[in-house]
Amino acid sequence: MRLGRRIGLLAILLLTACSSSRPKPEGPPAPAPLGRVDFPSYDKKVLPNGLTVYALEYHEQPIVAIRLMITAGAERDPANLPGVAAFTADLLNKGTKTRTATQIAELIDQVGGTVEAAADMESTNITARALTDSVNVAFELMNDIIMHPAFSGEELARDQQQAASNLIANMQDADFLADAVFQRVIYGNHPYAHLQGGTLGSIPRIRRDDVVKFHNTYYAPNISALAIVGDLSSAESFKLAEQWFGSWQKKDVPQRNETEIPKLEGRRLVIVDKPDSVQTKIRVGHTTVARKDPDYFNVLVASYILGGSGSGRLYQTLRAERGLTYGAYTGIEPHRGRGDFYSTTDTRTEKTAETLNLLLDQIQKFRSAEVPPDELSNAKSYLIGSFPLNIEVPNNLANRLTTVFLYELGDNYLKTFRDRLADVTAADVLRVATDKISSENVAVVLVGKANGFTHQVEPLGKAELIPIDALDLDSPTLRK
Amino acid sequence: MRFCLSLSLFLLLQAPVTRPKPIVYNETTLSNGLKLITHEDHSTPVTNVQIWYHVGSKDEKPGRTGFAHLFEHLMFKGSAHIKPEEHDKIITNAGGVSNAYTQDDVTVYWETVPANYLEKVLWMEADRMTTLDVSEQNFKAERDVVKEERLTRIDNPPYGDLNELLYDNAFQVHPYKHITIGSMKDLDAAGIEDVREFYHTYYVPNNATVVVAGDFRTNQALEWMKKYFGNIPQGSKSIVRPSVTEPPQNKERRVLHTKAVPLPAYVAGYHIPADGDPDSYPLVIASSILSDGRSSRIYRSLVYEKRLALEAEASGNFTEHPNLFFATIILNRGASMEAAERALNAELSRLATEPVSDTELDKAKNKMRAEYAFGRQSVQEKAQALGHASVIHGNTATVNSEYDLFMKVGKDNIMRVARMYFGPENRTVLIVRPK
Repeated sequence: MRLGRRIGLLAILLLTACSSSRPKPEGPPAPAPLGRVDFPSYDKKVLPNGLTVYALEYHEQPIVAIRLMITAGAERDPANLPGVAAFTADLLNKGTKTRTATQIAELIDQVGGTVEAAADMESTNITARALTDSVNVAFELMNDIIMHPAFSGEELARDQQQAASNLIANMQDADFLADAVFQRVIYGNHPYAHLQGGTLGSIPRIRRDDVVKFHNTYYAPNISALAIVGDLSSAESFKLAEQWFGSWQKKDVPQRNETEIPKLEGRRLVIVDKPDSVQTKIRVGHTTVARKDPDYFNVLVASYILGGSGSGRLYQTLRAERGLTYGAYTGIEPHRGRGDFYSTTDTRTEKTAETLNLLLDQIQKFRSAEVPPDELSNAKSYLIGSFPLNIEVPNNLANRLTTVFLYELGDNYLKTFRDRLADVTAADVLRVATDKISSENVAVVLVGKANGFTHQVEPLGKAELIPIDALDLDSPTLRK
Repeated sequence: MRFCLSLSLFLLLQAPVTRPKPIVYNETTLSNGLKLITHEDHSTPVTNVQIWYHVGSKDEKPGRTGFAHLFEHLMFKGSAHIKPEEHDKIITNAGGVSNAYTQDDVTVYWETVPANYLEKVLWMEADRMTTLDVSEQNFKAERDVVKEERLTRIDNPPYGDLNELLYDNAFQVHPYKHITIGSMKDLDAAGIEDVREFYHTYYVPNNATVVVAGDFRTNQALEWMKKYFGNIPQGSKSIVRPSVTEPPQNKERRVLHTKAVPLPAYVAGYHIPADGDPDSYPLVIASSILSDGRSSRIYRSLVYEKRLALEAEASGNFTEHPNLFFATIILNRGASMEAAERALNAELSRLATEPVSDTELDKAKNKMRAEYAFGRQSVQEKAQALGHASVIHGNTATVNSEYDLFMKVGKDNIMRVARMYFGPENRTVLIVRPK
């Protein structure tokens, strides 16, 4: 270390000696304060069938972004059949009562637009974009695929083959495996553990009836929101919404099942052995507060300080100081129920234990003392200050509006969330760090060449070692 | 329903075609050779700053592959007024984001910040253009980070090394032969003394372009740029660009590769001309017809109808010097490699032997029209387009003028370039089979 420093100083001298002929700039004056930036004004309307419509005008380019969110996703898959929500969404643009998959693709491609559908954990999103001169085509197709999907057996079979091939490919991808196993370990049998696209066990068992039933049950205007952001007046947007979605029939959608989410007691260490790896993928974490919980903002600030950016403690310790990894981050995946709080990194096989121990130490350290004022204010100023960057383009604006709808954050949310962030104190952060963040009651998932590190991580507790060929994501034990 | 469809198509054909708005910009060059490009956009109080250094992995000297990218990392390791790792901190504390990337031809540093931070960011970029200050210790730690990046991107993922193998075989003498991340051996060989030489050769105002797009007044931005960059002296070392030309390929090269991949893959690289070459425009339109969207030819044939491929696509990698047009297939489970290759080649030959339909040509142009609107929404995208035009094309005006070149592409042009470039003798094929 000492030697390293001396060489370092010498190098600095050499470099600055060379640079000294160049004039050094003086420091700039401090940035002028930026006036308060508000979310652009928008109009909201609920149609008689219960569909919530947001219209936001954006005239910078002749384009329109459309996002229809149905607040039902993989979470509503039948318990033993993950993937149904995903297949339902995927099949939407693969044929309607009057159009084949190819005709749908031709029609939207012809105008340079897109219409896509995908299921998330708690929502299904049908998104479209089009130049303003062809916005009618996008709406007409959205209407057709949502209201009159064919769900043909042939398309389902084709989709199943694609999904299975895709999953087989993913099952060799260490990052994918680490994430999937982590979800299983922290959520147990709760639907949040579902592999959203289905598993190798469930994909071939999905029948047309399952998909039709999902569509009949959950695709309803009264649990959905439509955001239209683009080069249209609000009046034009509302007119389009009524024209294409006004006749969508309201339904009695079953209530969400608030199944209890298990809490981890102690450390569960799972190692997936992938012998051809040169790196180990590391995931550490547990479940955390729901998106609407009053502590959400406290946990958010905590997660940002611990590892939300290149200035975070994990990145600074693992990457900047030690060169152990290309990235180390902490984040929250929010849900209506308990979300997940995760730390993620990777490192060369032989550094697995060193990296993991440093990561756990950082979490423990974070729980043991109040964060210094500058770290707190930096975190808050990022989370508050980045707001203008996140409202720049139509797609992001539409996304923000439907997110507020999904988590029922209220019409005031986009105006007030910065004040709520500003209210977070160091004591709040320490309280959630102590009560809601843990390095002891955690899932630790390692995917890599097990014989290169298993002996090193023994002190952390008993590991479940699963060879990649024996891994079964359908099973709570994760084994075939 | 069918009636509605034909009606909307009818309306569409009647409606005047909207042209995406051009990017209005101001351009000037300081006496030290630094190019400045500004674009005012007051729609959101956000500004993007990009510094384009005209140096990339093709400029690396032998035995130092990966150095341009390693150097990019070092630019975050401190300068006279900015401590190591402080650059990102200043930006994120402002609510902004910053990063950098290295390619074959350029290294680009960028920040997107709330608009009131423009002056500070310019000062920070000027600081590291003049007084970079990397310690031996930081150099070594960062070299480890880059080696870790190579493991993450190239060595660990199942298909991560295909590009490296393909380029190594497709090119014989041009430096595009090696990929940007470089080899572990060369990264290990790099030392702190290489840093100085590289910095003083390439990180000089006469080899850089500053682009700012966002919420500012042009005069104010220019004043700040002149204040902070104006008195930086020109570089004293001559910049020698690689001058080797890859000899024409006249025989197909085939490489068989066995690896722990989940599904077999086929990759072919065809030599094509540089970005901005007249032939690049019909090639881009051709790639759109081949593989952009679910109605494109390759998707329909290989993925949808024949179910041979999980993914299949064809697109050009257009760079400052001639590069490759890629045709890639990841096979479906159980599909035949020979059948997939045949089906792909059938589409490439068809393009060379029969004219595309009016509908397909219109579709490709509409997609390009949409790309010009959707791909240039944010200040970052706009600055990116300006920087690319200025540095890669050497002509900022192409940021808007290329649009018309795309719109003018005719069927005969597409056939001509397909004949010229998609022949088997011009390709290098990589067949990847699972272990």
